[in-house]
Amino acid sequence: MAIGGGGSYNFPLESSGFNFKAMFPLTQKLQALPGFRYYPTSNAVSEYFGSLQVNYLILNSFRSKSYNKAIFNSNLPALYTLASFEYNHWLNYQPTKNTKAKENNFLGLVGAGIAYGRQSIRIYAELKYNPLWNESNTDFGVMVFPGFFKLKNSQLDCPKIK
Amino acid sequence: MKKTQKGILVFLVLLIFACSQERLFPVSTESEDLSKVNFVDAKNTLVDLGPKSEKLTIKNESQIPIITKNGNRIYLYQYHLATLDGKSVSYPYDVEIIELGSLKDMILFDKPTVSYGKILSTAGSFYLNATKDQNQLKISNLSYPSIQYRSNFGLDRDMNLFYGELNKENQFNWFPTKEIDTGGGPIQSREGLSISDDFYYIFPSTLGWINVDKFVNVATEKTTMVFKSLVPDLEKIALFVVLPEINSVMHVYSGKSFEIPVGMMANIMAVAKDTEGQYFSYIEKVKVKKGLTVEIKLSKTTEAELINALKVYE
Repeated sequence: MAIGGGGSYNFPLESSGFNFKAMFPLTQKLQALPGFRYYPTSNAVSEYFGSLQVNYLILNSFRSKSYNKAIFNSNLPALYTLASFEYNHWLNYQPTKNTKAKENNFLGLVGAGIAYGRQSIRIYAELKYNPLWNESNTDFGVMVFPGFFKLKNSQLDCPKIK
Repeated sequence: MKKTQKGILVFLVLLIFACSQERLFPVSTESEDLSKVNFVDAKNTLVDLGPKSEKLTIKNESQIPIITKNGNRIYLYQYHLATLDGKSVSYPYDVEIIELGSLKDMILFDKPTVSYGKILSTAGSFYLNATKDQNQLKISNLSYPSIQYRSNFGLDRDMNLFYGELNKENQFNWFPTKEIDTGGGPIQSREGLSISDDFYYIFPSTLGWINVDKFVNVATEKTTMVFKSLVPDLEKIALFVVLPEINSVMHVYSGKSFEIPVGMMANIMAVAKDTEGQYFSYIEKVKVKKGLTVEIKLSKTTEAELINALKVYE
């Protein structure tokens, strides 16, 4: 698995915020990412999102995966399409021209992303589109794979065969 | 590149442009019949919404430079000032300053960036006035004051100094000072304006509205936009076209904009107010194209919502 976070930006609303997410490899091509995104009150629209995102790797999939490690095939960037199911709570809600947007909303987003780096730490950038509100946003940040931070000689901890 | 990857790239580019700003624009949940509303004249709509002026009395030299709310420094000594009939002035005297450091300020203070019908790209504008015993003063012919000005829009060495005036039609207009060719160098000077690595240095020859601007020179074709409103009449609506790409804002008079480059993204901002102080607004983002007509459909809003919607221009 991996955990990470970084910045978020909503293009039409010009809102800046931040995001946190975790990544669980499901298969060699699929990842599940529960996440949280928050746009603070310094923006015209302040809101948070809880999300469950699924990434489908189309370039550089996993070579193998285990309970704590997911090894990419190569050090090439990983390119993926994504679909995200999100709960939105609009903190400073008021009725607007967008009549589909309420104080609490359930949304489906589609998009694509890219991740690049080492097996242990990777930067990511994603573009997502919300067809219900006709809004697009980006998430970017750093994803850390804690499974790769174990000591290289950690196998020494294993019982020795005498 | 594989077809799939190309497809994704095109999709990503498209989705950035396929965007709605509707959530920025509040609407009232009450049904509105605007035909029964008594609207004030457009020129009175935004009164009191703009930045407040700073007023101070300069009693001696120790108060100079005057450091403004936005951190700009004004060196206005007594020898820079004279009475309107040319007599010298001594301390104390009163100074009034209004700083318009963002497009939001310029909209709320109704100081669009247009010079004789041509759009300007702005680095900020401000108002500087001085009086003594409530009598208007002027800049002395002997020496000009200086202003160290830091722009929120960054430094642009093509900028010039403009002064503000109301034209015959009672519309606000900026008129340019003469450009001086200094042959380049680290500090470029024009009439009343020098540009260093960090600041604009302004040496105004007159009090009043001052603007650091440049004309927008783009090679693309230009066109005008037409605006319509069923209720109320356009004369009751303070109507602006904001061009964030070039830091420019124009006030639309008589339902027709000045010329704007074709293809540019423009934000329409329309505000009206009734005699009881209730605000109404309409905001729309459009791509400028030939023959574009925009219909203004006002809906109720509050002062706070209006200010909030303008945050994007701070």
